[in-house]
Amino acid sequence: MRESSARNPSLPPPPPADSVELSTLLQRASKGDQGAWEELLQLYSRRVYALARSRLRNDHLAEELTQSVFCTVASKLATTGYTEQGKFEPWLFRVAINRIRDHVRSMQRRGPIGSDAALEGVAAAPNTTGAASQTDSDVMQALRGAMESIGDADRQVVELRHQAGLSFAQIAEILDEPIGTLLARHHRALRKLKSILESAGVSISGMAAADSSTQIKSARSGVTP
Amino acid sequence: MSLSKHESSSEFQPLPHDLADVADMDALLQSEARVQRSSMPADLVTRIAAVSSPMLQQAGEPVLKLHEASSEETLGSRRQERARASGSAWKHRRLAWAGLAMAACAAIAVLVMPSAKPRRASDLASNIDPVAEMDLLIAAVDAMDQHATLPALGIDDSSIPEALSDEDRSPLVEIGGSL
Repeated sequence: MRESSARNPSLPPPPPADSVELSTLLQRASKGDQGAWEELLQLYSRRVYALARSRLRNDHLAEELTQSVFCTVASKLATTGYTEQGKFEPWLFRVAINRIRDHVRSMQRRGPIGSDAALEGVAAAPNTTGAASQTDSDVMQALRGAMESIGDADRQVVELRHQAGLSFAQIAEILDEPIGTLLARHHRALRKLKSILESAGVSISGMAAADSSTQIKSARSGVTP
Repeated sequence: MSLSKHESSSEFQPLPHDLADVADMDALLQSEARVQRSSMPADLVTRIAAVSSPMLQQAGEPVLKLHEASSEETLGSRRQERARASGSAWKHRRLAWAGLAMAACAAIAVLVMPSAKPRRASDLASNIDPVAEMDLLIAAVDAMDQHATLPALGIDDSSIPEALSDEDRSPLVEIGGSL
């Protein structure tokens, strides 16, 4: 399963079986086991990459940053060792957001962040066909534009939640803020985004119908973060 | 960290019940995240592994070596130890020579300085006899008045070439006349 996902980028990486498996992987990796390290890379690199790419809007920078983050993690694992206590993901993504912040600051000093041309066509690449793909691409581009116009704090929560796929509890740990505050900020950010898209005449109801029906079901079942 | 947490965090988190009004937005953002994740180059994992694995390989080295490197025997302390072992005798010898040289310089300075030191203005003033100075000045003025020649002033003019005129030989007279 993991071998196939490594060859096919469209398949999401499988999650570790449980905390014991993650702990074992981390222990093996920290002792220099290359196989374990590659499994960890398979598990987490896409999420780090997505987070970086969403913020930096540049393929090459996102790749460099992902590599840099995992080099840092490897270095820490090798020198200090690591005992999994449910903190690996928050730690990994804290390293990632700090690195992204450094990049953004250095780029702001040098000039505005330009959008990568390749990114503009990304939305149409997977799982889209025919006329619908153009619509999806337009919506995605509108969404990226809207993300630029909401505040940094709101954007960070949205990106950590969706691009990094973290729970609100983990985001609260990373940002050191109360979970209630983050929930409110996330809700507000989504309403802002929706308002921006609606005012731009972008219809999102048809596009995300399948996903939203799933989400609404889970929401009605009362699942909390 | 539970099994469900891992599963949910690696895919997407369920929407909290109070976000139902923005469920479509949530779903759209998830679609966007899928696009971002799937856009990662397939070989990036291999590239990252190639760069980062050597860092982890260091961890596989013998524990004793790591322990030695990370214990109290740091790089700085090893340097000091080496300096102590190989350079202490040489250091002492250098210090001894430096001390001797300084002592020699001090002795020479004590011997030489009194005669070599520059005289102060008060010392120079004390060597001038003010009475003799005044006498010379008075004589010069008198000579000017009397159109005296150099010998009259007590100045030997034999060294002055004959070709020179009298005016040249009696500059004070000329000076006096012009005055």
